[in-house]
Amino acid sequence: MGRSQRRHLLIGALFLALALVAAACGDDTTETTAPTTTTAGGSSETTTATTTATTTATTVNEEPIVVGGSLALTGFLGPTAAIHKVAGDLFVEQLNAAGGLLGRPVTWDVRDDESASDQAAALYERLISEEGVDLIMGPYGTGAITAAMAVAEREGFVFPHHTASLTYAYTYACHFPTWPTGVETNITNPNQVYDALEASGNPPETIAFVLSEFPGTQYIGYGPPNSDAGGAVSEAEKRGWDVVAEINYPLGTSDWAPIAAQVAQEDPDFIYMGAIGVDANGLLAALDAIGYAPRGHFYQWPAPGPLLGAPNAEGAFSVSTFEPHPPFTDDPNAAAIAQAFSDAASAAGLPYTLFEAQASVSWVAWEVLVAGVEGSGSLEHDEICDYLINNPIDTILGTIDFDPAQQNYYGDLSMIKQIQDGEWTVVFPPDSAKPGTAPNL
Amino acid sequence: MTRRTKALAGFAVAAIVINLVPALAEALDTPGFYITFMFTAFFWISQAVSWNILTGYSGYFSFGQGAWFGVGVYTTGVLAAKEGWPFLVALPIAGALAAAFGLGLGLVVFRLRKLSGEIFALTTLAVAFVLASVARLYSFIDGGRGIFMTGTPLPEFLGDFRTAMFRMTFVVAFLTVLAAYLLYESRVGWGLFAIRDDEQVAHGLGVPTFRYKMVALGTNAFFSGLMGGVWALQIGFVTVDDVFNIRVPLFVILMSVLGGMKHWMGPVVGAVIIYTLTDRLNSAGLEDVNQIIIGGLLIFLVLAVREGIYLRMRMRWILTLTVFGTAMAVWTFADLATSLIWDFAYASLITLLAVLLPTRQSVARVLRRGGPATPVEASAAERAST
Repeated sequence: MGRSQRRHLLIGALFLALALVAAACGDDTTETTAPTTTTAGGSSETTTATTTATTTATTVNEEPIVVGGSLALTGFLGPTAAIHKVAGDLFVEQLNAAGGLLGRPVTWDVRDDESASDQAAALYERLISEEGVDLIMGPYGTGAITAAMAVAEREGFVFPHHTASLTYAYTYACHFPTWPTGVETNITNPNQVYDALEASGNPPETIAFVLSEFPGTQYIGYGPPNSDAGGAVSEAEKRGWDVVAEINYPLGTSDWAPIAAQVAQEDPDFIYMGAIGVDANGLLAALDAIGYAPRGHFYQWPAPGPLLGAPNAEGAFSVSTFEPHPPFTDDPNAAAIAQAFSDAASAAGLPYTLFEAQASVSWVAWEVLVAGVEGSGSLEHDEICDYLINNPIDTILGTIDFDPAQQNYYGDLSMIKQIQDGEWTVVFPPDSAKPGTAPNL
Repeated sequence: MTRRTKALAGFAVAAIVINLVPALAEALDTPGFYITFMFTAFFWISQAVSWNILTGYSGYFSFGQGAWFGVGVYTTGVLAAKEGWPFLVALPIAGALAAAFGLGLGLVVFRLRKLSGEIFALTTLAVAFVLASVARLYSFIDGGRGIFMTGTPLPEFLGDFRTAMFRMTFVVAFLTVLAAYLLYESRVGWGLFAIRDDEQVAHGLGVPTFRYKMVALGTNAFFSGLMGGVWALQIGFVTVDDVFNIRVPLFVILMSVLGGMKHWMGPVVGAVIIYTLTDRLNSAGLEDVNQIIIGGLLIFLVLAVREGIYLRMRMRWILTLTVFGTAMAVWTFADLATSLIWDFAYASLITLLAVLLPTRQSVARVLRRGGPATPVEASAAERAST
């Protein structure tokens, strides 16, 4: 056999292999084979999967209900989206173990949108119109959610989602946000932080803002574009605090030294950082490198695990919806979910395995979807939508009452947490705070 | 009938047939994603073909595709979504502004001989970074706040959103391919290929190199920006990081190299193959290995079929059409796959396999046998076969 022939044989083999891989994997999402699922009986008292499977097993042999969706499994949003993947997988597992949905097993067909909004839109188009999924679950992140929501609206699909930050812009009647920020996050969220600082008994007199040029953090910092509503900066000024610095930095900033130098020069009583992911670690490391330790500091959406290990992180504030400590874990059901998530996250190799804000809002999005289907007794989207709008929904974060007058938001239920003794601890408001703790500034 | 007349007639027929697709899809009640699949393919075709007009024809390797695309996206974003201009008024401005940026860059870099080769490539890459920073800095563009494109009104005659996207992307892709063809067949095309071979010799022989390169860069930027203007609607929420990233420039290179950079049709074929493959791998739940497979395939094919897939297909066009038609018919009528896109993907894979079977013919010889239209094509074929 000559070199040329060998080369072509190799080419042939490659394509054959590709064809076989595609043939083997290509149609498994559309050829339903009525899988058999072992379920827990006696779950009729709940419409969600918030109970763990401990009761008598029965067998469901029905065509599954397919929930389609995408997550940023790769790309710059990947590390945080991984939390939502674990939460969703666990929820569906528990849901099936508890009898499924409308007596049918549920499968979650989740695809990788590669952290790209247009990819997310195309994936939702495909899931809905080509692969015929029954329901959809929102993706992770503001851009992807916004793009996917437009598809959901065009297709008339109910759209639960967990992590979209531009609350003012979402007007689709059947979108159901589960990050409980309220529709005016730019006002309510910073004021809750500031109330916590006042509650410490030692509120700041000077404050520096360091804001990511990410639309969500800019919105909280300054309010909606082309609006006089204001945000964290103007709300601080209203309290008479002296805003000594407003520093904006682009996404992907890796050189924090110049920003740290500016902050240290102003020496504010408090740093309010519109941070995403490990931005907070970058700033704290740079501040530490010049020998500066902040007296008080807040981070909007940090990577919670890595921040615990950052220099001078003790005392840092952030927002939360759930932390795995009392009073949240006083509910044995919530405690069991938190423990199950930690186990699943450990098994998945996540660096931070606690069931906190990201995981909890993801869980609630699934609870909302299931409540809508079970409550309406239907897979018809207009019926599910009507049910969700007209009925309060019980979730692990409390009862949610979607309000069309507030674009389906329902007040700001978020809380303030602080790193105390090396652990994230909810410290404000008092009725949600870990017993014996308070904001400490 | 001359060769050019035949080709233009082919373009016209293709335009009419493809334009009927949305109506046909509606009549047959096919899944809506078929239309989305097609308009996404049009997007990539336009991007790859426009990139190839500069880089494939003239040999000036450009990473500027992301910049021209981004200018287009932000132009319709600012004018149509923020300022409320009619979308179809903002759209041509998107192309024109991208072309203006391209020509502005060309005025500088093509005047300086030092800025050729890899320096040119790095310069075009830097342009994207600069434009991203400008968009991020100035609130009248973005200012870090993003632009919502959802709800941007479109003219009613374009149909619903999906149909409108299909029509607009099709028109832009069609015009891009037509421009690539006309340039390829023209004196400018000859000149660009001469520049690609040896710019100094071409200049010495009287080829107006500066002017031709400006034409290529302007055309590249115009169509990339024009398609970017349309694509802003699909992105939905435009942010700097979503737009000015490496995805578009990287994929157009992959597509053009795979399809073949020495012919106007090469990037069309490359775009369809790469997009179909990535889409189906994603659909098959193989997104984890998607990029590994695509990258591996590209490396392999670049080494094995240096002239690109298209010239191979053209060399064996009877085999190509027969195998593709047969495979498509078998897969469709035997209902072997669950959707027409899967049928298409399988038929494409089998066709590729057939096209890559050993042959004693050289690309140049086959093209000559059919009577290559132009010296450019003959020259390309000669170069490809050596």
